[in-house]
Amino acid sequence: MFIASIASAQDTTTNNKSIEFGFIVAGNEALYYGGYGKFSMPLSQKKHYFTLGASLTSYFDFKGESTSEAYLKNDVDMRILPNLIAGYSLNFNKFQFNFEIPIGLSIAITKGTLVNEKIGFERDYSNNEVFFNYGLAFTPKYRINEKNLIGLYAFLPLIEDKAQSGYQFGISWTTFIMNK
Amino acid sequence: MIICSFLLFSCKKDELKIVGKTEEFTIKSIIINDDYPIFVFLPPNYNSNILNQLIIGLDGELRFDEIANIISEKSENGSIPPCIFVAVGNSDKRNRDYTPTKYEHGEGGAENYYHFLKNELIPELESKYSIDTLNTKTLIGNSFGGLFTHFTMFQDRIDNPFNKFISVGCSFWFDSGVIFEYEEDYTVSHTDLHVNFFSGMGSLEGGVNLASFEEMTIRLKNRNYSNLNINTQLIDKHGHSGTATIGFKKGLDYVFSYLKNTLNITLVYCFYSFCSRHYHK
Repeated sequence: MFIASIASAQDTTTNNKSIEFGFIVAGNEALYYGGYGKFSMPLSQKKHYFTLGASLTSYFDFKGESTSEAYLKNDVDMRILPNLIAGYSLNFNKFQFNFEIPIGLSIAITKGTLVNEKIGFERDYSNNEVFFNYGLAFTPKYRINEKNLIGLYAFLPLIEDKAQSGYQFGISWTTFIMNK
Repeated sequence: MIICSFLLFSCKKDELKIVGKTEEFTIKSIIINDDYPIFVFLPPNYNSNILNQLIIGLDGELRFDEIANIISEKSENGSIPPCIFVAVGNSDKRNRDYTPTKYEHGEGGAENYYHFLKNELIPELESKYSIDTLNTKTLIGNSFGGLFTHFTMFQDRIDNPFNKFISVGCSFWFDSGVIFEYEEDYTVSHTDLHVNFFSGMGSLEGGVNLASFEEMTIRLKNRNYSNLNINTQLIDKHGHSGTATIGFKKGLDYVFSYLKNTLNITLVYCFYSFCSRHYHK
């Protein structure tokens, strides 16, 4: 055990924990805008390795189907998605390809007031629901220096009704938390 | 390529799993000056010796299989009276045909389309099939189809061929809620709305539709129409696309529940008459 621990300590650590941030457009029937943050840790020091992580995504619809004569007041239409992530990372020189399976929740929050000036009414609405969320994510990244990567992000929800958790596409920035 | 693969991976279409007979023909509308493919489903309980209920569905190419599947199942388990289902195609002209006014995404052809259904399609169907010729038809629509279903319900009742309406995910947002003006116009000239009406809305359809859906429900209920049978339901956990099948099922259950009660009463009465005659003999 002593020899093994010395051997381990003498290995050059190449894979580090990372934090990733991204801007996304999301949705299916309506277009939402938002962002996400993700923490990942490698499960080995191999060139290609498995990862575990957690993420929090949130996106918003700022307009809905409102018009100048029928508009929304104090409107909130958003999804919050906390997820745990299992993944696999393929590494080739400056390129990294990450395949991930996020599993968690999608929390839908919709509330506000419709002001319809054309017809002449105001009506409040509110709806909050929580759904199981899972799917496949793909994030190809380009290493711009030893510590930082930029990339693309895509998420395909595998739940049946994509209004619960929609498709996501975006850009990302990843920074490694370097081991000392 | 990745995006396309993602989208393809998640595509799903209803397969036709019906018991019954399907037919297809094209009708030329002089009113609209366009051709419409007509998809016909004769379920197992269709009976050419009696007058069957006519159910008309909009967005034929998109919705025929889905609604035929539901009617086939209902026909087999006896939860729908003898009927014929007809879906009207040419769905790519839905923005022209289903919208009541000219507005963004719409050409305001609903009135012409209503006259096409009433004066061209329905007479043609009545000449080809054994259909109840009274104003007892059923109209089913989703989205812009739901908007057209509302529009048709608010047309004059005297010569309106429909008395059962199923609207799912109605596009209340269209032209800033112009459909409410048709509702108001109707109530000015009518004291009753003698129809069975089901309206469903997905709980994830966004603020404008959620609030408008509730407003329309409250308005219709507050009119105190003595012969309006109305059932409106928020369909939980679903967005605009996901509500259609659930809404159609619930709607068909609802609009025919009154007819079923009437039929049951009729059957009991017939049975009583039959027994009385035999007893007195």
